[in-house]
Amino acid sequence: MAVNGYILRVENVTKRFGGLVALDHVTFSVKQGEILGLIGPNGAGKTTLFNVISGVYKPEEGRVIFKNTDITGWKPHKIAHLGIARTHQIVRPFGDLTVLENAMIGALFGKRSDEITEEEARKIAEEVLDYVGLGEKKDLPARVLNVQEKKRLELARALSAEPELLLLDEVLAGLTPTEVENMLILLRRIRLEKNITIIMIEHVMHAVMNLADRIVVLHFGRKIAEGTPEEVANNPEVITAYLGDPALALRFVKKFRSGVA
Amino acid sequence: MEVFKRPSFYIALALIIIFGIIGGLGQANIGSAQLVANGMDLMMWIGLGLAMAVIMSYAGYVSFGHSVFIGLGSFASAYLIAYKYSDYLIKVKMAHGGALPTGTTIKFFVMALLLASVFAVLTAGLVGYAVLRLRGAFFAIATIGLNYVVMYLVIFYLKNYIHSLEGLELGNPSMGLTNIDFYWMHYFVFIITILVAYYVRVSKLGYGLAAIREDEDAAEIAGVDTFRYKLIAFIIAGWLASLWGVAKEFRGSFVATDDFNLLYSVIMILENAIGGIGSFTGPIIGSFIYYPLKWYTQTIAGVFALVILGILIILVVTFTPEGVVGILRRKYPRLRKYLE
Repeated sequence: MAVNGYILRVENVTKRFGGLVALDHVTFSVKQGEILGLIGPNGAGKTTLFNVISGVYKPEEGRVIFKNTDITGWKPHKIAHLGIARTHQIVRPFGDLTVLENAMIGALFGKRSDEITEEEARKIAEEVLDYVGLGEKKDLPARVLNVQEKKRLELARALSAEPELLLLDEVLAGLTPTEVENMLILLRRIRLEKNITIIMIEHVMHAVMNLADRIVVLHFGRKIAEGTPEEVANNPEVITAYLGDPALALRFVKKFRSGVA
Repeated sequence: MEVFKRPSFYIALALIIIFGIIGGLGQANIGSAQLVANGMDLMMWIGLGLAMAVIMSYAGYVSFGHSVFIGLGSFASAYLIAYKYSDYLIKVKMAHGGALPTGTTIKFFVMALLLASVFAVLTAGLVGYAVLRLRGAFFAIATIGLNYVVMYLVIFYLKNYIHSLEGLELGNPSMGLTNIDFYWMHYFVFIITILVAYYVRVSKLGYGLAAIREDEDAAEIAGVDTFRYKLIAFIIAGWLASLWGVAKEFRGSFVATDDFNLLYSVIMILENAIGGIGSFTGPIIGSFIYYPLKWYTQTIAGVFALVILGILIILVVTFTPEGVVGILRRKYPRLRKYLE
């Protein structure tokens, strides 16, 4: 897959909440069309980073550049109009609206918000809902869906916006192994069929290691590693971050490797 | 337009036709005078409920001080009729054989609507710009403050510059206007209110407001310009309420403490709460439930009317937060498209 150029550049982003440094001069770039995994222990600042990229927070230092436009400090709705869509760690459906209306909101206020008609939005929403497997439930109020369906709805709302960059925040959390597999199949289809760049925050390691082209690791707000899944998995600092004592970690890895193959 | 062909528009259409028929009957002198009077009242209570709906039922912001817009509308018309053009109107009346010609009445009605609109849009726009940065209870309290600030400004202005608006009253029989004339004025404002409230609901603005109501931050992230949409809703809601202030004043008189009375807001909120938040039909049904209730509490309970209203609000909010329409939509999903 040919990837020309960077769709997103995060440069020296620093975010402080009072005395707490949530993000510490984080710098990385995302190539157009790739799937970038964003991992790190809890509290590492991953969701905070998403909040900075999508405009919910303004960083104290640093810049966020989307396709040559500096979007640092822009209001979230303007960033959404540029073509960045996002799902949330804890799903936030518009409960009283139908599944279809939820997806339509994505379409009405997404990349084409200036000129899209209600009819076009409805068509896009219906197509996307079929795509994620929620077509049959489109007239139900969103609040009656189960967790897996709500996650798909959130994904549908984001996809309806026809984004160029999709930020997925723990889209696999709370899913059973079968549901995880189904979601991975869907994500692979999205990457294959639509030209969308994806950054995914994930804790389900086997999923993100398999799916992502590259990985960025955060720990206590700093980037501690960046590279292919293999490079990152063998990085001692990453192992320490997740497992604690490096010596113990290495013994554990050797045991795992020799014992299980 | 496309949006007016949706099934949910049938309710609005039905109401416009029914009230038109009542007006027609009154014009032809069929039926009792009560019919025309009650028809006017009911139109006003539905209209006020719909005005509040644009900011409360759609956007989820409870404008507790909304009566300020009724007061502004009432003040605007009283200013024109009982003060600025008082002598002019009396001259015209005398020249016309003792009763005001229809043309003049209409002209002044339109003028009053325009002046009220200017007052309302300016107030809602300027104040909304600040007050809509607050949420929930804080927003509600701020609007209450707005109501009293404007009321006292008006009273101050009257005391020091005009002294009184107890001049000419169009409701005075000597002006030659009858109930049916006021009925048509109410009807005019009713049609505007119901069409505007319906259109907001089914337009892109309505979708954005619904998203804001359900989860304002998620809506912003999804691309809704939440601040702008809230401001537009607040301006429209205030503007519609001010038009009713005009209709009300033409029929009656202007008394600052009455027309800026918070009780109007409470009733508008009650209509939305009983009928159901989130829809256009909710407040309409809420008004139909409130109106007979109002009769009962006023004529039978008298002084305890306020107590009963208060208890009713607490009951409604506690036990049926989704309102009548909410319950209907949940139990009969196929009715959803008629109950938007």
